Amino acid sequence: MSSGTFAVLGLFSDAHKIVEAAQQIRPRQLGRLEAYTPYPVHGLDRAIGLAPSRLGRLVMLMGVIGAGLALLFEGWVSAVDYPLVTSGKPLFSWQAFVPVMFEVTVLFATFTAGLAMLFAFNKLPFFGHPVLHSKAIKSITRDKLALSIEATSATFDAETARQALLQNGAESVEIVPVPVWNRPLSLVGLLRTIAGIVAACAVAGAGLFALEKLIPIVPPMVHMHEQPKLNAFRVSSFFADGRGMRPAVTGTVARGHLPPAFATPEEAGTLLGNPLPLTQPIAERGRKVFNDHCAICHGLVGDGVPLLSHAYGGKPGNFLSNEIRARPDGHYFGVLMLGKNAMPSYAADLDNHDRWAAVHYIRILQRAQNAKDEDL
Amino acid sequence: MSPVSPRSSLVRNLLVALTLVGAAGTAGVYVSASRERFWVNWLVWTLFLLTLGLGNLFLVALERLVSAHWSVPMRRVPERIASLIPLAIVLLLIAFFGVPVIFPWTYPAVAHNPILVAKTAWLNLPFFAVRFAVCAVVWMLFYRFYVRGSLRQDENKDPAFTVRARRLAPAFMVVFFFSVTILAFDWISGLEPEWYSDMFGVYLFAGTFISGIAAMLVGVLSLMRRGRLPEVQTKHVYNLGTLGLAFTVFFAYIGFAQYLLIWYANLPEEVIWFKHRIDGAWQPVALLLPLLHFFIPFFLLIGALGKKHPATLRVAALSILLGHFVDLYWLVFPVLGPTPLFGWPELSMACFFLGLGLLQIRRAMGRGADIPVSDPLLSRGLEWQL
Amino acid sequence: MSDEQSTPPTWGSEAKGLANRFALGSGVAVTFLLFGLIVVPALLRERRPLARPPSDQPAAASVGWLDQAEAPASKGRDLPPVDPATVMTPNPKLLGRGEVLFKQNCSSCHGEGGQGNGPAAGTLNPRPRNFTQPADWKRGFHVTDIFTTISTGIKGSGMAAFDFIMPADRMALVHTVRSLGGFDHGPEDPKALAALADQFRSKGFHIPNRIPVSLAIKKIVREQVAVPPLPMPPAEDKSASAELLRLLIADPSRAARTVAATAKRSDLAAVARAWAAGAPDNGFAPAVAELSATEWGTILHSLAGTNQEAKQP
Repeated sequence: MSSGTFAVLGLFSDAHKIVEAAQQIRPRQLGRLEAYTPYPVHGLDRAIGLAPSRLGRLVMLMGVIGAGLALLFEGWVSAVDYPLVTSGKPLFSWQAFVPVMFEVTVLFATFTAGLAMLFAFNKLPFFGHPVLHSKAIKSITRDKLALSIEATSATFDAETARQALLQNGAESVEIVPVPVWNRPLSLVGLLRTIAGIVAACAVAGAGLFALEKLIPIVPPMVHMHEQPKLNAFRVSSFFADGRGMRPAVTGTVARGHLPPAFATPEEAGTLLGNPLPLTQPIAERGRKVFNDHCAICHGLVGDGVPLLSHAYGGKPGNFLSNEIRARPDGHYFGVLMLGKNAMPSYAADLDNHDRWAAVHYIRILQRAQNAKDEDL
Repeated sequence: MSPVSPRSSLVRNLLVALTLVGAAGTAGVYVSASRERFWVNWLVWTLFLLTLGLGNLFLVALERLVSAHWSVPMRRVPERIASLIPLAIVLLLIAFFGVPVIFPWTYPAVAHNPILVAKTAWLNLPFFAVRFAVCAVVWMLFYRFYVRGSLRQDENKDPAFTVRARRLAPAFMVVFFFSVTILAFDWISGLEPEWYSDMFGVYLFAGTFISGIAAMLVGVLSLMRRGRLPEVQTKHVYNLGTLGLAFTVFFAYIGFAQYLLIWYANLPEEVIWFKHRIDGAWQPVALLLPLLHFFIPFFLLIGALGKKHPATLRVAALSILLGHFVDLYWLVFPVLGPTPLFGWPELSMACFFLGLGLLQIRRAMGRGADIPVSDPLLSRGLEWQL
Repeated sequence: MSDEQSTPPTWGSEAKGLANRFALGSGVAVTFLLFGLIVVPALLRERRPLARPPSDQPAAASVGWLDQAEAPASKGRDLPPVDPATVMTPNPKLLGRGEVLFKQNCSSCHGEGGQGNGPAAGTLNPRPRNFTQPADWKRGFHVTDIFTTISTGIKGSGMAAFDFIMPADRMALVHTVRSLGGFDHGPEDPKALAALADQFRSKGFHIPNRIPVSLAIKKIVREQVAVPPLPMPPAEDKSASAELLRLLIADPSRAARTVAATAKRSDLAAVARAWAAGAPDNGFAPAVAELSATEWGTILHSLAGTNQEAKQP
């Protein structure tokens, strides 16, 4: 009857005895040893021959990967993809990345520890461990300690294992049979589970959405833009002059930025030429700058039809009109620096290189929308 | 208690020789090098010895506070290293001669510095001395209470002392945090009195604690190698290593948090302190600090195997101790100028103070048994399982 | 476990099955109710007008492309001249078209009712014209005047040239603008009207060729003429002018572009101002702003020389 046996359970009531029994039985290699105890027993893991967990190494690996990914991601976002100078710091400010790296390291490490422990090493999910169906399970969860010899091969002999446990001080021995799975997976059950999950998602999502849209006084989520903070152009009760946006200190300029040498865009048009050579990378850079900063109002083709509906009230300039096409490069640069009509100054948001690259790109758009015959 | 072997007396003679050579060098420094350099050296080394002693006293009190069992068999080591406290207090008393030399708030020019004028209520010599005196008295009282009491318990086998030691431990914790904060503010950040950082006291505490653990590890491991701690097993040292790992991370966390906040806010009066210590010639020293104080011990101690292996533990502990010296050097020495000074004056004074400290610990080693034989918790500490 | 299978179903398991079915059914019902009564109405409420209004530009080939800049190339064409009879006087069709165009192009500044109070009016100086009253019209409010203003804009104000709108549509706008003012616009000048009609008759409207931007980038980059960098004096040349050049020119290749761009100008003072204004991006060091007149003389002389040399091959 060896094939029908899952394990032989021996019950002990003394922690010392179960450790001794395990030490005695283990060299006989009757089967895989496993222990079930209501509380941790020192030394039992070594006695049943449990190898040191590999979880630690896995957690370490994932932690390092998490730190690396966080560094890569933050560096890429803030120095490569969307370089935006924040409070005068270098674009790649590793100091600012460390807290996020730390958090991501912890996130990866804890998730790895928890999930790998449950699913990789403890082999979840499974329903109903055979020992849960034994008679001894009640006493195991109360005050008894169980040592089980699991059948690992066809030559497993339940009787030998029973004798070995009894000889080493087991108070009683139970043979746990291999469970019979007599309930096949049913289609109805599967469908019911899926329907339940779908219904739960739908109810939760619809509820949140409805709360958000129909009863705005009870927002289910507090949005980031609703936090107490001083927005641009708002009144401040803190500063004496009541201005929330602080003017630059008199007589200072930002490091690396000379104040513009012109007072109007027209003057800039007479003074300045585009110093950047028009190369493929600069054109691509200009395209990115234009699409990030300008296209939202001036349109992707520069036709002055805003992407963002008409939520904002101005009528943005049409770069394709003859009047604007005739303006020199410096005029565009001057408008970027000083603003024009409803358009604000972009002096603080772009650097000169990006401004000139955008001017190049506007010229390219004008060419693309007003191409020569031989271009076709 | 230990028999004096020929090897042992050779070690003592070597230490005495080291101290004497160092003392001669120190006298040479006083005569030939600048006064500032002499006193700054003196301050760094005194603080080094004092923080090691305080860290170990804190370890003893911490064990009492939480009634830890596992560290009882090793407790004599921190108790003996704590004997650096009286030595360091004497040395710091001598350092009072250097206070008018290296502390800018004592200079007459203070009257023209509105920031320092505003701070005179705190930064004046009488109050400074009173603060130091109070701290020193408190440290000495607790030192005598814990260390002498423990030694006395060996003879009179009085279990009541263990209870009394636990009752007093919370008071020690409070007093300790205040006194270490005052030590940090007065003797280190007082060197650049315009600068301030609320976290600096915690920073020095973190350094004190982790270097105390490292010193205790080195002491335990060397006694074990000489066979003087036969009852202490790998599991005890393993746990000490775990504590070391935890507080290595704590130190790095506090140190970085202080740096990050000041770096982020970028306020001129705060950031200049870091700028002097990170830019230019000080950069290698600044880089050495996280390496010795965090990366080397962290990666040595993070695995279970490392904490069971005496050689690994020793390397980690020595790295922390060296890192602690570099930390104090990096905190104090930039007041002398934009280039790190390290030459014969530093070496000879290092010999003098290291010799003094080691001699003091050696002297304490002779007192009492190597394990607290009459502590009622000892048997549980020996039986304790990981 | 097989014992459980063989036992007859008890009332407990029956009730369990019923409860399961009830839960499933009510879950589905609640879902339907939520969607039918709350989610769909909320979605309907959220519906906004089309994000991108139809462009007022004729034959915008770009509609329907995610990145309109990459729409396929299209050949330009000429629209035939406009018959003046259809546009010179207002008619309902023209006014209808004009109203749409007015909303798209004018109302953001001049306001929905033409009172000069659009959302962006506050940012403009001088303020946009109030079409409902006769005062302060810069060019006058006759048909020809308004047509000129729309076509060329007004210099020194926020009024841009709307030359990209087809002439017939511009006339629609003219009539719409005039219809907003309830005052007497007075008689027209017949000569000017005739000239405008002639203009309509004689010239059509050209819709240009369009190509994708990536192609335009390639073409423009290929067309660029490389400017050789300014030859810097050799290091062993210690003369005053060489030192000055080394001090002033931070980037010889950019400076070469700047010099080439201003080579045609004859007014040396203007050239000097332009170079100083563009520093340091244009290849000159910021020190260029602080040169004395004699130093300017030296530098212009030596640069003019090098420029001549560069041009010869």
